[in-house]
Amino acid sequence: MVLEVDPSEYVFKLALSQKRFDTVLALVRSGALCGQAVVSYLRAKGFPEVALHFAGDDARARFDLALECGSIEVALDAARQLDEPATWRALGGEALRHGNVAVAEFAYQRVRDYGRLAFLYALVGATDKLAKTVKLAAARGDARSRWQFATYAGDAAERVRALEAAGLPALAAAAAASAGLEEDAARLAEEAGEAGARAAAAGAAGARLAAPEVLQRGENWPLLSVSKGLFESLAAKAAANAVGAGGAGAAAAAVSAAAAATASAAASAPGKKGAFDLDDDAEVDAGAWGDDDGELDLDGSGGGGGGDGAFADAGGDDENENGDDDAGWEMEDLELPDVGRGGAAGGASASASSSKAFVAPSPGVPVDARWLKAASGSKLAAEHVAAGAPDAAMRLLNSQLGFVEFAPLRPYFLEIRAAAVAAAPGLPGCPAVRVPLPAAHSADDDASPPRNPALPYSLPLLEAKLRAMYKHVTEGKFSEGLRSADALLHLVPLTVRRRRRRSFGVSEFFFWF
Amino acid sequence: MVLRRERRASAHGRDGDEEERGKNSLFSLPLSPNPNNNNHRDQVVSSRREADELKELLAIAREYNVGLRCELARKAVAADAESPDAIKRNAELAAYFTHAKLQPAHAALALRSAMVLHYKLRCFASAAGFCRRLLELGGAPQKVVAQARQVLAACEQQDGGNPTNAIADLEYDERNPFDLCSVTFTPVYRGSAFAEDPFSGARFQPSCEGQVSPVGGVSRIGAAATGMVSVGGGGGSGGGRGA
Repeated sequence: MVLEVDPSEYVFKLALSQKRFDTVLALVRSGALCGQAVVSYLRAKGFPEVALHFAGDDARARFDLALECGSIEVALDAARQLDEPATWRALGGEALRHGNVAVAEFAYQRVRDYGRLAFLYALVGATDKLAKTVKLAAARGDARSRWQFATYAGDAAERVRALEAAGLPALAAAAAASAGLEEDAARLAEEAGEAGARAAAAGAAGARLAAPEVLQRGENWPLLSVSKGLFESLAAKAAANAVGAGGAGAAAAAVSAAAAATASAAASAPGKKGAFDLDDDAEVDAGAWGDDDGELDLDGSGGGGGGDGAFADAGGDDENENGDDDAGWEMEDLELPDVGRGGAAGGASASASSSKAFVAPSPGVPVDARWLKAASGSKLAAEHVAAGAPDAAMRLLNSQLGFVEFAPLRPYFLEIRAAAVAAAPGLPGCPAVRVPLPAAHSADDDASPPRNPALPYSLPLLEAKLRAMYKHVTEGKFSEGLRSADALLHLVPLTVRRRRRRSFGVSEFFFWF
Repeated sequence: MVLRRERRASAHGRDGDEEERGKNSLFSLPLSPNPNNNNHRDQVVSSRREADELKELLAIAREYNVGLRCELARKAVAADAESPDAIKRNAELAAYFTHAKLQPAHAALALRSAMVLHYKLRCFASAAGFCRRLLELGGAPQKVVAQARQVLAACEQQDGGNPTNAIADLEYDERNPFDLCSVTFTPVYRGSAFAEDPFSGARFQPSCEGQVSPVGGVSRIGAAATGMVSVGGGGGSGGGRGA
């Protein structure tokens, strides 16, 4: 009797752990694996993008996975299927984090999250749309939002009107006075009586509230076309082969994922183009986006044309396409991702262009970490301080020299760290650029560049301190001499002598007591 | 060695500008390619030797720290009172200060001040001892040498050629070697029990164990410690333990 064992699951997991993605892909295509278990396994193992291919028709799972692996376009597609406020909000937040202004805008529009929307407009400097949000807030009678959005827009007159409409003439007078709108200020001050006069005076003395400076005016952040990982390009390639050979239904999963990306990238464009009419937002959802849906249907039935949204439907159609008779149809299907992706700004690279795609260099080990590694070998307290680990340095000093009081060493610690890292101020709002300063090294001594930080204390410096101490004692200034002696005592354990390679083979370390 | 040369220069008092240079070197360091380049060029300085210099610097700093605090303590006592106890303590601390291992010029000053004080207090035996040590030291100015000779002669004529101390219970014996405990300012004689500061190597009375050492104010007296590590390099092989 033969007991049949289906090894696909463990073969799949083994291939995944060995990163043999061609095997993974073959198993995905075989359809032997399915279900939530595989999805959650992949997710837990950090392969959300692979899991995405298993979560074919479950919109919520697709949405979660797409957010996790940063595929905003796929997430947008899933969100449109779900169409829930919470989903849109999550999508908007994530899209903003990716700098995808268009999708963020669309998501906030869908849930009518005016606060976030206005902030987004203020952020990207979309002044005309911001003005519309202000008008809209006025139309809704939302005084708070009106004032806030007017502040974003830097529209002082509107701020005054908002305060006035809200029944706060004194505040309005102050706002008008501070903005230099004297006529309004006078009128409102009169209206508000004595309080108004005082408020106007205070406002005139105050500083003008300026609109925030827009740092990056524009739309989506520019994206590097990064090769999306082996799996995806393999999937696309394999799909091409499979379809070329006569069509395999299993390829549909991969294709539909890629297609969804294309569809959503294209779909986001009209939304951004400003079909969202702020004066009449009831029409927005029904109108502009309704039209878009209509287009999708048309394309689906037309089977080509612009090709934007066709794939949402094409994915559904795949079950029917198992036969070979629709080869021509499928060939078109295949070419579309390339075309669509080429057109979508900053879209993911397609299989054809993956060889030319920019591969981001993997980040190196931070200098501090390298310094720490070298220092933990040499057990030098000063190098630990320079590498930004004063705690480790204190532990070393405690075990090496029995130090228990570190307050006297504080200034020296700070000096060491300051000498090891230079900083150049960055753009406003950006962190300073840190430049680690390695130890001086001479080509005669070391074959490799130094792995240690620069340290400020050297024998000549200590000798200078010594001479200062002698001078004080000679002059009879005993207190100052004592201070110099203490400084010497504190500097000696933080001074490092560089070992000269080869010139001195033995006793690289010096211990005493 | 560099250190010695500079010490000689210091004794002759031409050190003002060098101190300035020392200060500046700290701030210019991050910008200069190698502050030690001169050393590199003209001599192969072994790191072992340089580490010895660090140890030497630490020992000098320790001796000056202990000595100066002893002298400052003496001044506080001397300004304080006329009581017999204070006078005795004053004489003792002046004597202890002469045993700090100072530079010859500074040691001569300490010996001279102790000599004068003890002579005034009619402690002729100890005063004669300071005179002899001052004369042995050499290098003291001619005037000081002449004064020491006179004091020595005067001391030796006292008490019928066998000088004694007016303060009978003076806790000081120049022939019995000792380290000065700088917490209690009492001698820790060689061979007796002591507690050591693992950082500076200063010795203290056993009762001081566990306190923060006043020498530097950073380490704990009597703490277990493996020893100072002050030589590093491009390498990074493991550490070790001192004896």
